[in-house]
Amino acid sequence: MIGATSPGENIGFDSFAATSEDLWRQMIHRVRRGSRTIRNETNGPPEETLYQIRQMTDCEEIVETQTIFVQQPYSVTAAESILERPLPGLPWTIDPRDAPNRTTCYGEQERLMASTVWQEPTVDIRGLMEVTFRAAEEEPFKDGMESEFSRQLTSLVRYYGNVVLDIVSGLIVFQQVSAEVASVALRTLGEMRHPLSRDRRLRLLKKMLGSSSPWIRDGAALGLAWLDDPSAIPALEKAIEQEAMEELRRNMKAVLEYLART
Amino acid sequence: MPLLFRGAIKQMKWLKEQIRPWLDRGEIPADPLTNLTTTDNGLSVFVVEDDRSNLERIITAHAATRGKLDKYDYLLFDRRILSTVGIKTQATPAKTQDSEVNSWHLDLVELSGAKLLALVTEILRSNFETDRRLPNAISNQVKQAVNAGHMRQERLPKRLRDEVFST
Repeated sequence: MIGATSPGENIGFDSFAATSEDLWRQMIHRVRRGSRTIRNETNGPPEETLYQIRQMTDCEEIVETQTIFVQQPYSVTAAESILERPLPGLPWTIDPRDAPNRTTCYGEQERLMASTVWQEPTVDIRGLMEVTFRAAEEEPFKDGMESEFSRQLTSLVRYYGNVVLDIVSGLIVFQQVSAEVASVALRTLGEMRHPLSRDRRLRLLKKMLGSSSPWIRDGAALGLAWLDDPSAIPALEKAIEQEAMEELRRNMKAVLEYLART
Repeated sequence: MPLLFRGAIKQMKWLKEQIRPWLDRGEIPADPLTNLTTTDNGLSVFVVEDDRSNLERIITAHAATRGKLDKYDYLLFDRRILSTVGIKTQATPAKTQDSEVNSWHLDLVELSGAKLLALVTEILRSNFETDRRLPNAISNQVKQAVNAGHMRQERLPKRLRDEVFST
């Protein structure tokens, strides 16, 4: 851990972190001077720090700190109730030294002054996903060009975490999206950089190698090529054995060769 | 056999096992037809040497015109189909970075709807080929092309350049 701090010490981001992991550690230790904070694994950075972090998330490995807005006056009970529903991908703890102090209303949302923890209004993530996938049906995908759908799906995974992957899996398995859109989704999930969801994405892609749709099997194989994880090799070998279509078999073998390179 | 190359197709629209049932009942599926997009009633193709010695160079040059690293699917078909269908050609240089590849370019011109349909029908009935290059292969090929002086790194699309040369 970089630089143990005492409460109130403002570390700041004096220099851009050498690695995303360094930046992540800085986030953990960031404590706003004079504030009472609920300390969490990311240290619940204050608003301006959060803004700084967001500005610095060109570094794609960084998971943006979750900002949540509480809709009731802050209290330890409220914070604990938040903790009972952990945000995706972010473990939270509570610092017993911090005491609830005050709240301030900002427009439509109540936001904690003394805390760096806010709670989002309930978001219909599934509804968001369905809208995103529906719009994708109209998008003319072109290899070699980033699509709006890919951008949105990437953002959704980064913001909401693994729950998005569960929804994607359901949409694909129950054929609620076209095969081409599903294929693009799987390629996107392989290509994106997001360490916290990597294992889940890998599992989803391996699972989709067994789809009845050639588009989806192909998208899964391409996603695995992007993910570049040799642990996918056994799943690919099995898929190749079972693959009846010559073109897909060839494509999967190419992915296998790539993953097996030393 | 003289071959023509059509790049940037979607291979999943040309799967032989899925096309066969259509041909058996005297039809063709729509997907391959919609995957050959014309511009000004023309279709862009490249001429491949009989020994396919220029194939990779064509792939690389064409893939390097795109915005980002990605897989690259392509179609190869018998050039003689053009005579069968009565399609005219025009030798116009392509606009890739590789000037030699540009000289291998051909436009299929004055394509009517009927001729396009006939072209695709004959392609599907023939021993056409589709294949793919994965993103990592494209990346390696672009690097080699730059090193060989066929293309210039600074003239590549920015994101593609960063993706290829930062790894």
